[in-house]
Amino acid sequence: MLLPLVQKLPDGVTLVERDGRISFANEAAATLLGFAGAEMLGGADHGALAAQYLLMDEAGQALPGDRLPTRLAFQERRPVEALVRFRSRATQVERCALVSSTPAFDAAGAVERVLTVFRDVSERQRSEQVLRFLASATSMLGESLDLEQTLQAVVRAAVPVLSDWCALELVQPEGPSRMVAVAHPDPEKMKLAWELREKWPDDPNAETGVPKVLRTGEPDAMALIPPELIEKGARSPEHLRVLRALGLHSYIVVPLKARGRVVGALTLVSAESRRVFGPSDLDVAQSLAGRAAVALDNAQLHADLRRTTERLTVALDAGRLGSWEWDVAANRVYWSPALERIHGIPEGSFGGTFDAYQRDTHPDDKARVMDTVRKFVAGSSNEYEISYRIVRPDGQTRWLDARGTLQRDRDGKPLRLTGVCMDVTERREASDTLGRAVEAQARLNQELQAAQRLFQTLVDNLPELAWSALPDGHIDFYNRRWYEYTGTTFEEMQGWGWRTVHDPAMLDRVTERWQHSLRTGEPFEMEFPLRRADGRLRWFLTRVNPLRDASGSIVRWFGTNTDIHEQREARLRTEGLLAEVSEQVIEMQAAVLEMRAAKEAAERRAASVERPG
Amino acid sequence: MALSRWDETAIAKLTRVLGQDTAMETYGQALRALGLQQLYTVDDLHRFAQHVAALGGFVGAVGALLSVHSIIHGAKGV
Repeated sequence: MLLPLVQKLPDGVTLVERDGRISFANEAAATLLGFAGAEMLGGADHGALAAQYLLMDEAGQALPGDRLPTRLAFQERRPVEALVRFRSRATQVERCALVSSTPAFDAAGAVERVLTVFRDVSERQRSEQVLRFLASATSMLGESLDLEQTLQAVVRAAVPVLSDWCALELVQPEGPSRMVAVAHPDPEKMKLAWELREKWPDDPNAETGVPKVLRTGEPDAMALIPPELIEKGARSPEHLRVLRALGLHSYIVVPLKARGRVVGALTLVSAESRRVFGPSDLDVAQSLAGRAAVALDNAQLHADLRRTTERLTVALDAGRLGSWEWDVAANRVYWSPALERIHGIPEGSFGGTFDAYQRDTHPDDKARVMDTVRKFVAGSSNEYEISYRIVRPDGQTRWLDARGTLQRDRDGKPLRLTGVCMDVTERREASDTLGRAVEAQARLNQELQAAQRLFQTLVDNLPELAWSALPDGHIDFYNRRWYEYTGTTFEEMQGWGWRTVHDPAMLDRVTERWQHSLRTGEPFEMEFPLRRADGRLRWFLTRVNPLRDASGSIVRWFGTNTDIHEQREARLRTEGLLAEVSEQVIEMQAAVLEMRAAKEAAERRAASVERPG
Repeated sequence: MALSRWDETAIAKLTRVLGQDTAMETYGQALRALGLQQLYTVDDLHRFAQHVAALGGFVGAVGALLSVHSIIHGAKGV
């Protein structure tokens, strides 16, 4: 009465006799074990079962016949339950069953037969495996940032849990996409896959498979790949041979999308397992692709970040910049290695507190720095800037320029101050040196200007006319007296313009003498008249002396014109007067002699009158 | 109007000591002071010399010399 009921049970039920013969098997047992019907199984030998299947334990290890639950129930005379995996030696299709074997005893207490119940848990197992795989893949993808290596590991792990073949294609910034990973349990077939990819790369405009998915961003799946499709896609007999050798049966291709952009495609293909992919497989594939895409994007972001950080580090190092961050609430301070180097302490030795930060501050700057920080944190500005000195452990004093930006919470309370610090000692010293040099130069300039003013005042107030000339005689300076006397301007007088105020009668002689001095370097001295502003000529004694440098070369000529007009007139008058006096004396002498002769003649005439006869 | 020998003598001596400009200026001023247009006689020269001698300095010295010269050449000296 119970037999029909047992026959229709969803779980497989068998009875194994003491001699190992299967005396009963219901329909579910036959289906599970791949037999045509319960009748066939009922007569089958237990050994025949093992011959058809590769039997494995839960971990996938080969399960010897004497370790099967039925055998163990006979041997150990107790109920035994175990998970057994059956892989068909003919089709490689694997199924999984929870096997419970319960011994039945005879009157003598010996095990007469064993009742075994098979519950097909293949789907449950597969789901668990898939879940475990997804968890493991997620972990792998999350833990490593070595992009290709991780993706290859994930692809390898997907086989055979998800499919017989798994491949991953990534979009390249330029050029065609690139297959970065492919997996199959058989290494020879993997070689075929690489060969296929190399010799017959995908047509980017193909209507199916990876090209379509990369193009459209939509999944592409085919439950059963028709042979005609393979024949149609083959580009040569050899290509067709390779495609057939792969034994492609069913496929799923899903896109890897990161922030809305297709970055690659994940392909699952069933071949030897003859598995037919369904909607649940597509979900799994998309889930895995989503995880891979996120990991890919993260890795890309990480790579970008790393490159940015490297560039920043190089820039910071090149600029002798150290970075720092002060978590105000937690009172934690972070220093970059570069900043530690600036402070002259070993990398990683900074104490990480605000106290540690200000420990190196120069005693003379400490109060100012603290006051600045206090006011800044209490204020409303978010830009921090300060220059101060530190004293390194080796006693060296360095100047630092610090700049930072403060982040505040919604209430304006300071959260963290982040910034950079630059060692500006050399620049500052150079600036100080330059500043001192500039100051000294300014002082010199002032002194020079004062000396020039003094010289100008002196020269302008000389009673003489004064001027200076370049070594070639080009006059480039006259004092004020010159302009007052001649009534001319510098523009009229510069160079050789002075000739216009000379007496034309003497100009040639003056010019000749002046050029002689310029040629020989001999001092010049000459008296000649110069025309006054009113047009009258007055006489001047002109003296010109050369100024020589250390090597004896003439660098300038300095000349003065001293007004000797009055002296010269007096001299000429004296000379004229003396000449007149001399002439007059001679005339008087002649007159006196004439008078004496006349007197003597008169006396002689008088004597002759007095002596008559 | 031609100069007399006494005009020429006076101008020559004045020019030799004072230069042409001052000499001619002195000569002209002295004639105007004496109300003379020219030195026609040796006595005119003597009066001219006496006037110039009273001016002092280099001019006065020339005047003294002209006075001696006029006496020698016949001026009455009054």
